[in-house]
Amino acid sequence: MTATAAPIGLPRQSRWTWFGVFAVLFLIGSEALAFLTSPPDRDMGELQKIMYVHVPSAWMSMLAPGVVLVYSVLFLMRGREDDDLLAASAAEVGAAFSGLTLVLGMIWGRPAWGVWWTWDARLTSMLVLFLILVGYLSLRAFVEDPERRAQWSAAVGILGAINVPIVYMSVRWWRTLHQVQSSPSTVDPAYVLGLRANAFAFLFMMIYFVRRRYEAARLGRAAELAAEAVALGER
Amino acid sequence: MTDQNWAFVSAAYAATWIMMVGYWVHVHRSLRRARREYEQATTKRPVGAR
Repeated sequence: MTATAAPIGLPRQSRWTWFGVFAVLFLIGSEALAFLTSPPDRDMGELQKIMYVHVPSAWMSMLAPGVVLVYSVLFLMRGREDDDLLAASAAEVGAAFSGLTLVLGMIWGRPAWGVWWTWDARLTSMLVLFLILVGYLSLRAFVEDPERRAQWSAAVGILGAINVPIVYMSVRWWRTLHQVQSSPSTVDPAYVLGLRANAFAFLFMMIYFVRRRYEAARLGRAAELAAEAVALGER
Repeated sequence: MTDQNWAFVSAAYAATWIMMVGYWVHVHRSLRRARREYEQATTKRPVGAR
């Protein structure tokens, strides 16, 4: 682990600002496209339009723990602090998206199933994923030693990622109220373009959020190291 | 599609934008705070430091 007073290379900002603007405009455009091009569903009517935000949000909820897994493994292999900070940034963004997925699922479930919540395998496993990510972030908040924090978080990040395939396959492994996975190959062709566009829009937003959160974490860590260097120099 | 279902669709998109804008604000606040802390820490250098 590079917990030394060596200055962490500060990230360039300007191109990421523009990427953020692009991501927001792309999201607005994708939502408009989905609303304008998709006809009402035969069974669900206009309620189907919730799919364009719920499904991409669920995908990002499963992608983010994958990023946490990769960078947690890299951290344990290479011991680079940057890998730990990237994993933590992805975990926070993943928690935000999984929270959103649960809320959107409840909003969709009430008119479609008649209930806000049911302990079905998909909903429960997604809730567990959300709680794992919140637990990961709580662990980081409580452990002060950066090295121990990084090692423990990496272990939780790797173990927590095991839940992702369970979430994904839950609708096939168990009989659930939740329908099977919605994807461009399972939905009506009329909905594919809107779903794809929104999936990319959510992906761009996620990349932007992870990158910015990572920048903040690196700067925060650089500030801690600089403060430590000052304190050591004053002794 | 009933008017009531439009309310659910509107609520879903409102929740999405609340999360996106809310997280955007959170991230940028964290970034600003981290930049401020970094600037404060680097301007206060120990004696003899370059």
